[in-house]
Amino acid sequence: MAELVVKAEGLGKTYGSTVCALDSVDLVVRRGEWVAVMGPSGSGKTTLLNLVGCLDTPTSGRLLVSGMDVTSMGQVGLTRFRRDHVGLIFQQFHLIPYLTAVENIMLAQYFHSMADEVEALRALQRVGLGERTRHLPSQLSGGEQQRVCIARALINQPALLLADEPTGNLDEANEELVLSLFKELHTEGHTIIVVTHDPDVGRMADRVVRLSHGRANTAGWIRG
Amino acid sequence: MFLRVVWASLRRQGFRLGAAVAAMVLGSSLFAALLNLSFDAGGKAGRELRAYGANVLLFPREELRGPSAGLEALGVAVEDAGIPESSLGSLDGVDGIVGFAPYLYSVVEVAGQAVVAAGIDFDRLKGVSPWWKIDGRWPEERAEGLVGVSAAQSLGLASGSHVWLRYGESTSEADVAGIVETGGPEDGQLFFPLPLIQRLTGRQGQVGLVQVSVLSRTGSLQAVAGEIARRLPGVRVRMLDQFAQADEIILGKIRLLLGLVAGLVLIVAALTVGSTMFAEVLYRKDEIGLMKALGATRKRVAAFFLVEGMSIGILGGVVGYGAGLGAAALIGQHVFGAALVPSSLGFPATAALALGVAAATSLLPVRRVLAMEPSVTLRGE
Repeated sequence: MAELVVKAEGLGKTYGSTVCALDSVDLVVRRGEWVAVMGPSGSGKTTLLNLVGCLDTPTSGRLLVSGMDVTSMGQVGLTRFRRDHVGLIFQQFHLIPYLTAVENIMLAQYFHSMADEVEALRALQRVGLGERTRHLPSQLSGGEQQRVCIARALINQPALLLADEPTGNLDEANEELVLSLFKELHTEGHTIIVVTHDPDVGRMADRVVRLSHGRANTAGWIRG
Repeated sequence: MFLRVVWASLRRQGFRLGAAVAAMVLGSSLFAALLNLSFDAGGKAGRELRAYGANVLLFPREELRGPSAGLEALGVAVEDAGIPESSLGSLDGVDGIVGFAPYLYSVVEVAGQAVVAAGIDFDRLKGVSPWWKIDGRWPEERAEGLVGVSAAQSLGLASGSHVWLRYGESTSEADVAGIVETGGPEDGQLFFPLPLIQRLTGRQGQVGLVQVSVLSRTGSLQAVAGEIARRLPGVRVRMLDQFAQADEIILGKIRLLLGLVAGLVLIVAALTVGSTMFAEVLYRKDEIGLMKALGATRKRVAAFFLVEGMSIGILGGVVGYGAGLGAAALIGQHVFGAALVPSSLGFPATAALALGVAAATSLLPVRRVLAMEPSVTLRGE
């Protein structure tokens, strides 16, 4: 049995005293698994992803990522942990608009340890953007921007890859390209959690976690 | 990578960067102009004030005796005592002395009337008392002099007149080059070249009084007076306190005014740069959120914006200092009729202030955005 990369027990997030975004969710993700988190808008998918990605802190429960209890970490500890263990892919890409594709990747390297242009160029070649390395995000299509985002998420060899609606802003052709990349990464053994509305993406995952009103479905698991 | 990011960011900011730099240039240039003015205007204004007469008098150390003593109260030293004329050369090397004029007063007889006649060095007098109004011309020959307007009336003299001076058994003759009017005791006196009066009174190489014009800076008059006393131990140094205080009060007020305006300008520049930087930081809060999400520490994110802000400060400070120097030179030329001498403190002070203002006004908005969670900023909230 592969080791656990994510283990959440009774994970909850409440905003103020009334808004419960996530209510006692249990979740286990093993190394090399591809898990899709699905559910209607406002069901707590992004909140769950933010907690697992250490972008936010839970108000209740316990969360272990790569064997470390992140619920007991302070902001500085969470920042370090995120830098070293998590790769993030966003629906809006969130590339720095004035940096070229390769510089956007080098920035993630710089925050992690040291920028290495050769390695960053290799990462771009890997996602099929070897000819677009010096282009600014505004000169790239949505699909290309998302591939830069994937290369950036992978550059520091994170234990966990988190993607929030990675195909939400893409046309069909680009969606296919990005999903084939995810499939490739999964084959290589990367651990991936994807938040999606798209049933096609859900079908490609090993498992689907369905959320509704902040709670995982009865058993917490449904086979994809 | 750090500088690469900062440079790329600055390059693409275009109008917003231009606005911030322009605000900084404006603020720095005004600050630099006022700073240089406040440093050099003191000197310039001091020189202007020196056109209104001497502010230090030198007398012989020996007490005056007999009937001549009363004349001292009028600023007149007569023949009882003297300062060796040859010793006055040492005044030329004293820092702060704009000029000095030696006098030798004596009571002589002209056309049967007793009048006060002074032997003076006309070239030096022009430096100390440029405000003397001359009807006619300044004396140029060895036997030419000036006659005070009242004395000219009572003696029936005019420009071009010839006068005989009698002192005891000695006599001299001279021409009147011009009539002088000062509104002071000079109006009742006669002025002739120093050697002529020295010869007439038999006091060759002696002067009875030296009028010294000292450039006023705060506390400088005392120091100059002390230096004179050290160099000329045989003289008594008397400062004309009213003049000295008036000079220093006026200069102090000029500096205060310039300082206040410079401070105000700096506040306005800081607010302008601050609001520009604030808008810039808010515009880029997604970027800040992303950097934090990628694992950048708060210090690292702040460093990007701080260095960007400081770059604006450096650019604005350097360009502004150049523009400020130009403005100061123009003001100096129009107000004082002479170019201002830039202060050595001007550039470092302007650059440091521009840097400090840009850094401080950049950090405040960055701190606010840094406090936001990346999960919030990345959602666009």
